[in-house]
Amino acid sequence: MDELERELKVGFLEEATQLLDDCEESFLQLEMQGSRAADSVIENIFRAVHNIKGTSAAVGFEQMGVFCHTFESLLLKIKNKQIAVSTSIVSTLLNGNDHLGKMVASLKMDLAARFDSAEIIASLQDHIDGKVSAEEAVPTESQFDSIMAEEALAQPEANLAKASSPAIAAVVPGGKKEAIRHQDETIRVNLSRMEMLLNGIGELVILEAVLNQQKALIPSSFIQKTISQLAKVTKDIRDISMSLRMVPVKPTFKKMQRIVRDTSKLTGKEVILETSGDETELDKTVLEHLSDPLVHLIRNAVDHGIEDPAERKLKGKPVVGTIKLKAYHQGGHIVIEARDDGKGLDAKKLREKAIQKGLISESDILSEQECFQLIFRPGFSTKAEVTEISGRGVGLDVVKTNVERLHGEIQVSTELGQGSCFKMLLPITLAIIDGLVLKLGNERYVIPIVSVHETVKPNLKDIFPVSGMGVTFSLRGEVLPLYGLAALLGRKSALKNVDDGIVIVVRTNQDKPFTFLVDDIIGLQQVVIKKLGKEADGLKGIIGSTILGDGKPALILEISDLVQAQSKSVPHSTETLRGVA
Amino acid sequence: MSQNFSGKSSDQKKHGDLQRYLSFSLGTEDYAIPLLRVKEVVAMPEVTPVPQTPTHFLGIMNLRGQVLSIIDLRLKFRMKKAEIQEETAVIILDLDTVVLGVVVDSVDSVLSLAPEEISSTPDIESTRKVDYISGVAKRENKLVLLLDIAKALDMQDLVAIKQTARESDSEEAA
Repeated sequence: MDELERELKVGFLEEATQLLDDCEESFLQLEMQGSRAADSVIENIFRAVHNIKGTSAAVGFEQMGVFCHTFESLLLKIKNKQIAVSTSIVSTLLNGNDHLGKMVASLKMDLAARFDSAEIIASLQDHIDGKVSAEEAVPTESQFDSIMAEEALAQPEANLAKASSPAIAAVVPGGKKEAIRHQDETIRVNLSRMEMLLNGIGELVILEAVLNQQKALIPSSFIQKTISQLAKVTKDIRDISMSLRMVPVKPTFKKMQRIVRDTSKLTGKEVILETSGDETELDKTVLEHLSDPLVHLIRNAVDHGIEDPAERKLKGKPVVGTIKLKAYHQGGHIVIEARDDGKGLDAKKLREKAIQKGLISESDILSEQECFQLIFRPGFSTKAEVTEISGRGVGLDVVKTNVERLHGEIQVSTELGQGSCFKMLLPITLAIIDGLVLKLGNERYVIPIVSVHETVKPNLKDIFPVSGMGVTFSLRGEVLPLYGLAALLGRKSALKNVDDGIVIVVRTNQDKPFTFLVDDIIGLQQVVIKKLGKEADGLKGIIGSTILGDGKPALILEISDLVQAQSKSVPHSTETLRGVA
Repeated sequence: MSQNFSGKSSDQKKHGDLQRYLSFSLGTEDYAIPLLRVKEVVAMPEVTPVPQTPTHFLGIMNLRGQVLSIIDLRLKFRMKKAEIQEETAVIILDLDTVVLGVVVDSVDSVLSLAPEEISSTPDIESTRKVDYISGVAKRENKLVLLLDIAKALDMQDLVAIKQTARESDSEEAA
C-alpha cells in the first residue's frame, strides 16, 4: 500500500467517524419519535451513509462499500416512504449503525481488516424486500396511496440500488456539499504539535514569572514597564493556549443517549435523557477520562435509580423516567450533573447493606450524608445480584477514584422517592492546578489545593500521642492523626519545635481525614504540571513536578498516597513525628 | 542501539566509517559516548532532590521549562563523590524513550574513531559488572572507555529507582 493510498484511507476513516458521530443523534431521535420523526432525520442518516459508501469504495474498502450500499437502499426506501418506520426497522438501522462503527474502528487498527457482513446485510435486505415490516407497521390508507403513487418512481431507483454504486451517487446529489459545511473556520491540528506549543508556552510563562520577580533589580524604568507589558501579553497567550485544549462535552453527552437507550431496553424501563449545557468546554484529557465514570453513573441511574414502569405508575409518577445530564461552570470548576427522578437513596437500607457487607459495624453511628457516602465504598453495590448492566463487580467506588484522579470531586444528594443527583466537580484543565507551595527544610513541595481543607497554626497542647493511633492533632475537639511530611518523605525538617510549623488538614471523601505537619507555607499559586520522565515515574505519592517562580523545579505530592504507603509499612507511631521535628 | 558502538558491526567494517564520540572524564578515567545520543551539554544547574531514590539519582532540573531527571555518573559507577567545580557539566542524553541528564567531571572533546581503533573490552576480573563498557580506544597514551550509556543507566536504573523506593519503605518499617 503506497503512502497516498494509506493517507486516503486514514483520512476517510476520520471522516467516517465524524459522520457516524453526527448521525448518532439522528438515530436516537428516530427511535424516540418513531414514525413521527422528521424527514430531516432520515435525510441526515441517509446522507452520512451515502457519503461513507461513496468514499469507502473509492479508497478501496470494498466490503464497507457493499454493506453501505444495502444499508443505503433501505434508507432510501424509508426516505421515500415506501417503508414505514417501525420498532424493528429502527433496531435494524441501529444495528447497521453499530456494524458500521465497528468496521470503522477495526479498520483504524488494521487497514486490511475483513468483515463478515452477510447476516446483517441479509436482515437489511429482508426489510428492503418487505419481509419483516408487515406485521409491525401497518400503513394507513393514505400511506398506501402514496406508496402506490411512488411505486413507479421507486422502481427504477430500487433497481439502481442493486446496480453499481456510482449510479446511486448520481441519484442523490448534494450529499458532499452538506458535509463540507461542518469544516468551516476550523483547522485540524496534530495533537503532538499542539502539545509542543503548549510546552513552549508553559516555558514562556515560567520565564516571564522569573523576570517579573527580578524586575525590581533593573534600574531602567522603561525595561520595567516593558516587563509588565510582557506579563500581560504572556497571560493572554497562556489563557488562549489553555483554551486550545478545550472541547465541548457534546459528543460525550451524545454517547450517553445511546447508553440510556441500551440500558433502558435491557432493564425494561422507559427512560429519556435530557441534556443541557452541551456546549460547555472541558480539557480534552479530562473529558476522555470522564467518559467511563459518566457511563457508569448513567447506567447506574437507569438500573438502580429509575423504577419499573409499573412501580412508577403506582407511585403516581410519569411512567417514563427522566435523567437530566447537565454541564455548567461553578466557581472555577466544571460541574457535570446527572439527576434522575427515580427512587432515590434510602439511608436506612444503605446502612443495613453496609453492615451486612461488613463495611461498618452495627454500633457505628452515621449521619444521613455519611450513609449516602457508603455507596462509594469499595465492595458496595445496592442491588442484591450483580447485573450485566451496572454490576460487573465494580461499583461507584471506581467512578469516585476516576474522578479524584482528575483532581475532581463527586457529590451525591438525594430525596427518597424523588430521585438522586450525582455531581462531578472537575478542574477546567489538568495542565494547570492551584497548588499550595510548602516548605520543608530548604526544599519546597507543591500539593494540589483541592485536597487541603484548612491550615492551622498548631498549639502544643493540641498534639498528643494516643495509643494505637500514634500522634494525633486535636482540631476543635476532633482528634485526627498527625503525620510529619518530613517522615513521610524521608527528608529532614528544619523545625526546632513542632508548634513552629503549620498543620495542614486533609479531608476528602475517599480517605479518613488526617493532618500533617510542614515547616511553613510559602504560598498559593497556579502551577503548570510537568510529568516526570519514565526513569522517575511511579514513585509513590509523587504526581508530577512543576517549575516555581524562581526557575527551580519542585515536586507535586499526593499526600494521601504518601500516608497510605506509610501506614502500610510503618505502624504510625510517636517516633515518626519525633524523627521529623 | 548498542551494536552501533560495539565497533564490530559488519556495516562499519565494510565502509570503515568514522564514528563520533563525546569524551568526558570521571575522576581519573576517560569515557566516551556516541555523539548521536547527546542532545546538549549544560553547566551544573540547581537540582531539586527527589525523595526515596538512590543516591546517584540527584533529582530533577529545569532545562528551559522541561523537567528532567539528573543522574550522577560518578556515584552511579561507585566512584567518590566529587565537589562541583567550574568544569562540572551535565550531558543531556536522548535515549529514545527517556531524556535525562548525567553529571560528569568535565567534557573534553569530540573523538572520531575508526572501527579498527576500537578494541573489545579486556577481560579483567572485576567485582564490578562492566557490561556497559562496549569497547576501549587508545588516544594519546590514554585509554578511553566507550560507554553503552543505555545499558549503564537504562533498565537497571529504572528498576533500581523503584526498588529503592520500596526498600526504603521497608527499612523504615524495620
